[in-house]
Amino acid sequence: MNLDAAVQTFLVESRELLDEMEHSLLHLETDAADHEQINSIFRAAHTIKGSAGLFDFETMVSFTHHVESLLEKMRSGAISIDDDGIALLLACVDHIGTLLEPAINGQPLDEQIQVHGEVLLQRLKHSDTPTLSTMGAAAHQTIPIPPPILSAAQPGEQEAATECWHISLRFGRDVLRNGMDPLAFLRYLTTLGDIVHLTTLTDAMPAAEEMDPETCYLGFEVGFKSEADKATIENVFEFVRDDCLIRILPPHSKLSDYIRLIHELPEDKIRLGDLLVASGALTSAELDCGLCMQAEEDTRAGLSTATDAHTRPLGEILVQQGTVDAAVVNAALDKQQQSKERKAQESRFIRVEAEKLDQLITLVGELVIAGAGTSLLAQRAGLSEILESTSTLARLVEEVRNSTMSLRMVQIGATFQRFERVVRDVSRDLSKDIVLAISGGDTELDKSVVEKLGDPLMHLVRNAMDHGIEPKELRVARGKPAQARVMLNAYHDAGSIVIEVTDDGGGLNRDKILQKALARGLVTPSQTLTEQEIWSLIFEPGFSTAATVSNLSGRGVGMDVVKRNIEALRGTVELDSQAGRGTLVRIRLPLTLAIIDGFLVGVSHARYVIPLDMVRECLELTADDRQTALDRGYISLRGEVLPLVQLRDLFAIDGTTARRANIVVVRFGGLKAGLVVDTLLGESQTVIKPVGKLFSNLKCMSGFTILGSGDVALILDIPRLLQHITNTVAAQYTAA
Amino acid sequence: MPIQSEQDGACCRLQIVGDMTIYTAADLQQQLCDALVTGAELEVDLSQVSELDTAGVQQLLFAAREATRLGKTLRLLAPNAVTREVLELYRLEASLGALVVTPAHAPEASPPHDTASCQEALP
Repeated sequence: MNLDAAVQTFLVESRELLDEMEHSLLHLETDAADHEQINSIFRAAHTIKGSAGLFDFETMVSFTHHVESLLEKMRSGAISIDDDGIALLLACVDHIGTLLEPAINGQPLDEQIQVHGEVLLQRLKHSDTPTLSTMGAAAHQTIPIPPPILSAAQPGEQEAATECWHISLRFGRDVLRNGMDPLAFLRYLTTLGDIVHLTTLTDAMPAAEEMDPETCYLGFEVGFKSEADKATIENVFEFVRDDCLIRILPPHSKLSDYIRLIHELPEDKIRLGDLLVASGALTSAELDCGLCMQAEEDTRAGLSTATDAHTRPLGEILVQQGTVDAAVVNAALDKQQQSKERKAQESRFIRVEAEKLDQLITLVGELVIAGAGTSLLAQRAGLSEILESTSTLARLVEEVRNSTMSLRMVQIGATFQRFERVVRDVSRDLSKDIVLAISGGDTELDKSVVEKLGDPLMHLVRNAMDHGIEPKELRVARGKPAQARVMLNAYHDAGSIVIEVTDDGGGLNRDKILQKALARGLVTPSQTLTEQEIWSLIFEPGFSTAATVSNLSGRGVGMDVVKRNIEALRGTVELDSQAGRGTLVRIRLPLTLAIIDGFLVGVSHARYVIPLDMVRECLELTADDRQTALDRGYISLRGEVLPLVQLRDLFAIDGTTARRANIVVVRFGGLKAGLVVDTLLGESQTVIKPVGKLFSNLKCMSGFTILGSGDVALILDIPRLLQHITNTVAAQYTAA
Repeated sequence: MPIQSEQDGACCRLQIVGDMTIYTAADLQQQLCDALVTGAELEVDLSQVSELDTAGVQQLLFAAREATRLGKTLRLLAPNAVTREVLELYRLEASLGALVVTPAHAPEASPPHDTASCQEALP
């Protein structure tokens, strides 16, 4: 196995597990009684420790070990789960995260991390000391169970007199090596009741030469007094169930069950019988009686029961024999089902290197271009059979393209979820009470986009919390709920994905922004600005309205960076705010960055591609209307003003105007415009090729593509184009 | 886990300082085997054990069995709170308890946080 690849997998998995731990911890904070969460945190920590051990990452192993010890104590109830504990564990999760990189690169830890680790270790050790009261308390809380009723009428069904559960444990050879300590399970068991009797069996321990110090040879016979039900007791051993022999007999079990137990266990029958008697599970009379009964039964009805047993499911037999009640069997079956489902889910995903995916997408891009070329040739040849087969081919290629693109799509939910922690931490720092509401987490977008979204979103969320949300007292004074909300929302709209960050805080101060803009010379006093324009001022470099600079935001480097980041993804940001009600920041991003459905248009000999998602409709511009429309620069479309752009003028294309022209109505965000072109050439799959550095300053163009004919077509950057139109129209009006 | 070995006539004394866990079990087993071969008596000082897990307990059980098999004497000296808690949980007083020697002058280990002391504290 390639070790590098394995280390990478370890890195990715550990990050996921840490995320999972963080998520569960946050959940625990709201619901401390949720035992499943603690278990899942414990499992995650354990897996990280185990994998780190495989690679010999000593520091990680030892640190995680201590974290695990604390979790173990929380799980067993020895330590109550409180906010401090969760805060400590969150800090530990972060610390493990910082240990990852140095461990993998084999770098020594820098001093700061080391010191931080030491501090955490000290805190971990100190949090060990508080109450172990639950253990003691449980021991004193035994409630008397009514004495058993021995029914003499059915001697075979005779019950043991004991009030204790009997648990037989033979731990697997590898439990210790797997980092499980039987001690921990017994300690956990004591939280459910009282261990009345325990025998440690060393029978499996081999001779000195053969003994492996890291193998577990021990077995235990436990007499256990508890009010818990069988499923609960079984769950104590959940982590080791697979490779251990575990038999649990409820109080007053049938003698025959004990006899069967004796037969199932690896040790000598007589010794086990003695053990059971010694441990108080059975009296010697009961043992003798049971053994006799069994011998009789074997001879009497051995055959019939055997056939019976083969035709019925084991669960049914157990229920019928009264060994377990139906509820227990159902619970066990459910559990099996669940674990099967979990396994199925695990195998539903495979990890693929991102590079391989990119390669595949490039190839599909080439396939699309080649396919377009073929259908063009078929059209020219005019052979109907070939036309038919190329159209099938084209459809298939399109499907391949779509499913390839969807491979890169990930749900944004995971990114949103990360902010739960941010909101929690920051709201504590600011001593504000803020909750995060997430919606539209299942909206999908390109993975490369998601990765680049993290930073801008972080800025926006922090901004909202720091500047947007008012202090508690002010909120109450304004008649708002004391608990503030920050919302993250995502949805698809016209070929783009929209992400909204909303807060219910104080909103932006319009006058303050204007003042500042005037002071900085961004606007002149004579200018009248629309609401939208005022808000967009805060995206100017170095613009900050925060009165004080906090350590979170307010340095005035935030919003322009956000805008730049989003624009680099060919997206846009807009902001809306209502004084006293809150602020909304809306980010609009293209769905994919590689292949799009395009609409091909022609002006003279030049070809342009308009992203199909942004095309609303096409209109014919008749010769009569043409001159007036072009003079005015707009037409009336069903009573609405539609500004027109002549692509011929915009790109300064020579040649005579065609006799007929068409208008393509495009829309992006809230803006609409009509593009005047000569010919409409229809839909085409477009592989976006980025333009070189030389052309990077070109506005209105987001890339180019190669058509089936081998011609090059430019892809119009509709958002920029619309922006450009709005600006020129506005400029015309101000000039006039 | 530094193990200090001391030979006093026929008696061999091992003092275990630090963890007695799966990480140190291999080393411990070696030392125990050697000591059982050399001397007629073996004393294992448990006063300085900081952590004891099942692998460690298994070594103690192993030593006890080997000592009986070879006809030698094994004594467990001054188990501290940490070791006592584990031995009590495993109910090993019966099999190992007889071997335990608690010297009168042995210093009590740091504030015990074992089950026993907590239970005593309760009414």
